[in-house]
Amino acid sequence: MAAEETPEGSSWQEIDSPPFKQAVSDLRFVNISIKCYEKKTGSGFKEEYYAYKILAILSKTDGDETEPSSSSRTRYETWRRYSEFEMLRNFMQFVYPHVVMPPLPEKAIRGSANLLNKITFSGEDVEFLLQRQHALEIFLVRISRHPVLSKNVWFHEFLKTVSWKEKLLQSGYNGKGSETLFQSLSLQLSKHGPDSRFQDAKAYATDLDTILRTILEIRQKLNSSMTSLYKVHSNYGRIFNEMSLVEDKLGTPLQVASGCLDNYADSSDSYFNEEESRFYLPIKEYIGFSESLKSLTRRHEVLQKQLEKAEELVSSRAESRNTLLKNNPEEGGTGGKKFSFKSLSARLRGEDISYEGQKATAERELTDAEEALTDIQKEFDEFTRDALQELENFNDQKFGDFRSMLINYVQLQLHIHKKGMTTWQRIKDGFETEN
Amino acid sequence: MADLEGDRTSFVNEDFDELTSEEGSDPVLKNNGSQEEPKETEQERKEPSPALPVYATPILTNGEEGKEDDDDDKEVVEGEKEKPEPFYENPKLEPDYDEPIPRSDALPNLPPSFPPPRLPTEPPPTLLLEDEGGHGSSQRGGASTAPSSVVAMSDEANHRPLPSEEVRYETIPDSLRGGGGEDAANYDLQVNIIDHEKQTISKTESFITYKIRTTTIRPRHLYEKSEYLVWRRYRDFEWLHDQLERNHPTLILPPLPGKQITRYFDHMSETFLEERQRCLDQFLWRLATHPFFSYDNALKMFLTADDEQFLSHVTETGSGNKLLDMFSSSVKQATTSIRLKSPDSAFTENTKYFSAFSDRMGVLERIETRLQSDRKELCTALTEMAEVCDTWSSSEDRLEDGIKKVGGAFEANASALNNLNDSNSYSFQLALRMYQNYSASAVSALKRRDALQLEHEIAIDEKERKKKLHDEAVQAGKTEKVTKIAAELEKLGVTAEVTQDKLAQSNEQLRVDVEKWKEAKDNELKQIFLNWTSNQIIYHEKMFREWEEALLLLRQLGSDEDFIDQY
Repeated sequence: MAAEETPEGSSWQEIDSPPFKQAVSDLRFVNISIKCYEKKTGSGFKEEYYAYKILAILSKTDGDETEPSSSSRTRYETWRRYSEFEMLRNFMQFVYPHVVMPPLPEKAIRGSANLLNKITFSGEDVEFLLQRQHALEIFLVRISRHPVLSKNVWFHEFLKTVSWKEKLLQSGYNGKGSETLFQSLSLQLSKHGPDSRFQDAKAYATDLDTILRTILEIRQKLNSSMTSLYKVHSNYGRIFNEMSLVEDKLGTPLQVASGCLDNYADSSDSYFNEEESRFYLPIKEYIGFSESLKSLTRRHEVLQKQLEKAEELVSSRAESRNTLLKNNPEEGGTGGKKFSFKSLSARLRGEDISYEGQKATAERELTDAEEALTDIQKEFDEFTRDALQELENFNDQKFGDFRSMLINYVQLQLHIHKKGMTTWQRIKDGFETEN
Repeated sequence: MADLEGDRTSFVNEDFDELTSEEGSDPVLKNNGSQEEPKETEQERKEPSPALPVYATPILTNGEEGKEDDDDDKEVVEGEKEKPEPFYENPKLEPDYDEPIPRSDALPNLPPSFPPPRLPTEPPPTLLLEDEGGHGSSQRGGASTAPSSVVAMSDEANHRPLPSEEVRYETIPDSLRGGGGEDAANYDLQVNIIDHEKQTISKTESFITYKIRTTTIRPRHLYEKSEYLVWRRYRDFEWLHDQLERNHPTLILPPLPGKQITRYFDHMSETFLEERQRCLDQFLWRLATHPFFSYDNALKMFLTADDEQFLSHVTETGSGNKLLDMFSSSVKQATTSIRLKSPDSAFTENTKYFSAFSDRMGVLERIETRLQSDRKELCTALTEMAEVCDTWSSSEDRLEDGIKKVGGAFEANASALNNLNDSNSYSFQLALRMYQNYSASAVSALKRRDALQLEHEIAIDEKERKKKLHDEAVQAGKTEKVTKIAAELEKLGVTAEVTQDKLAQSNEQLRVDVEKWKEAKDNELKQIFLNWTSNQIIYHEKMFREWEEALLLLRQLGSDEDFIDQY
């Protein structure tokens, strides 16, 4: 389509909307960041929302960010609100059901510990909004790094075109995800039994969810007692300062100690800020990922169920055709005269109720069912293949992420203990050099 | 923190001894009984030299020995009956106290835990002898002035707290004996509490006795022998404290540990007893190195008298000091709020200084208490984190070892924090508490000096008043009244001179004592803070190494291509 050649969205008005799955060729967004958020007033009554300013750089160099050939790069700036992110995600999931879709941040503040402390005078929960901004950015980066998702033309539109939402809805997307449909089905797989590969993934996702939530709970406790532990040291700082004024001989080392301890008490602040983005956010994201993982396995089950239903339909139609064949009046069967609702209704609709007509209908129905089965089978096989590949990719990604998350966390610990060592050593030196 | 300021009463002293032993239960007999054991054990584990006198020498006149005021004293601990009884009832028949008393029959009473060789790391006898040679403090000082973190790290037992057997005997008083310094070795009176022992009288009665060793190079007319071993219980320390307070009201008297420290619910717990032993040791050490207290007769009695002598002396002097005979009742009433006519600005400043100092020591100690409870909370969370890491590791095949290692670091962090708490309460907190009391004791001494000055000022005022009356009488020509007043005036003159002398002497003594106190304080405080910072450094270094190992392992688990820093 022409859209690929024209980076600017202007030409979009002239052409038809592209199909959902259409991919752009070698263009990629290499740098996506959310710069800020802003409170906006919507059209509705008293409607207020927060919009996020997205800065995106589109490049032809396929990810080679080191090459600054500005000719192949285009900058885009758009404002999107949370509901649009949600729509993008639902759309993507709808189009690519086999993908472990990157999660969005939680919709509302849930279990935010010291909510009151964080809300500023303007009524904004600044911390929450900043966290969300960060998480949304990660969401976009994840999509832009996904081999399939990153090429979807509608993802590009999301970052490029102001009227993205309207266009997508015009193009025939109903604006809803398929998740609700899947969730409402009660699944009892009968024939083939569950696929152990997906069962394992499901069990893992459930475990992971529990573990990560537990970690977050403990982290809360850990951080609050650690904050307190560090803060209380400022009391030492205060007393030492008082003492340094009256103690002649120990005055200097006490003064040193006082300064160091005040510093020590405050050092926890920067630690917790870092910890928040390097530990808390990844864990939150992976709680979301475990949900994505679960819904992926659910979709697999749903497809499997549909497949089984199609198989049942084929076999039941094959059976009824065979029954029909057996009851061939020319072969002395009795069936044709027998009253049935089916023949009655067929007659009412003016269908051919002759034996030949029935036979032809049954054959056609069977063929339809068989074709449907083939389609579903194909879809199912493709889904399974893609999803398994996706699971493998997810595992790699998860390994890398967890590893870097742990490394980050450990480095933070090293930082804080290093800081502790130097602080106390300085205090000690102060007392030791005193003579 | 405001709440820290407000909470001054965290350590309520309760009557520890009376909770565990009945009133009037006999300290002497128990002490006698217990005295058998140390002799046995001391000799067994120490020097082979039988010539060394190990038993207390009587130093008082015979007249003081035989007093038996307390009938309750005759109650004896079963099993120890035979030995002490004749000794006690017929003191005069015992001609030579230097003679070691036969003690074979006392052996069965040894508590099972007591056998001397129970310390694997017990110093060899030579070390002990060296200690006796008067270098004990310098050894201690040396050991504690160089708490290089490296040294301490290499030996974790060093800062492992109390119940560890290694620290029991020789290192007990370390952190409470202050900076030491060069002259610490030169004191001619070395006193150490080297053990404590639980004495059980019955199911409901028991108390603790402390084994005190004194070595001295003082002239023979002061101390006949060079070494003494006595057993004293807490109330004997109280007696000594009261005696010294009475004898030297305007000196800064080292504090005793409180009777009970509430954070130990079990007041017979080994931790509590170790702590108290160290405090009592510090008390005696301060006395023995003090220019006035160390020559006090009550101290000598306390350190050298055998139990019987000691008891009779205690009974004679009365155990309660019930204050200060030296003050008139009017002064005693006034002591709560003394307004002096011409306050000595130096002493006023010092009073302010000492009470502020005492307050600050208290605040520091409570900050540490608060930190300890924060650390405990943190430990709980860390342990939980370690557990969840353990669970998690089993579901992450490729990261299993890494997550396990991180969990291990959480676990190590918890135990390192526990160690830090223990080390801090063992050295830092206890020392602060004792210093809080020590400076409060200085405030008392200063108050009593003020009382002396008040007494003197009252005497002068009275003299002035009488002088006026006298002059009026002379002018009026009332000869009879003049004579009467003149006599009174003369008496008042004498009183004023006496109070003047007392005041002048006290002023001088106290001035010197305050100077000395402050000087020692600088050293000791420095030492306290050095120990404290070392504890912190050890903690952080330990954790740094733990996390470093975890980092190394995590790095090895994947190449850095996996390391995509998204966040």
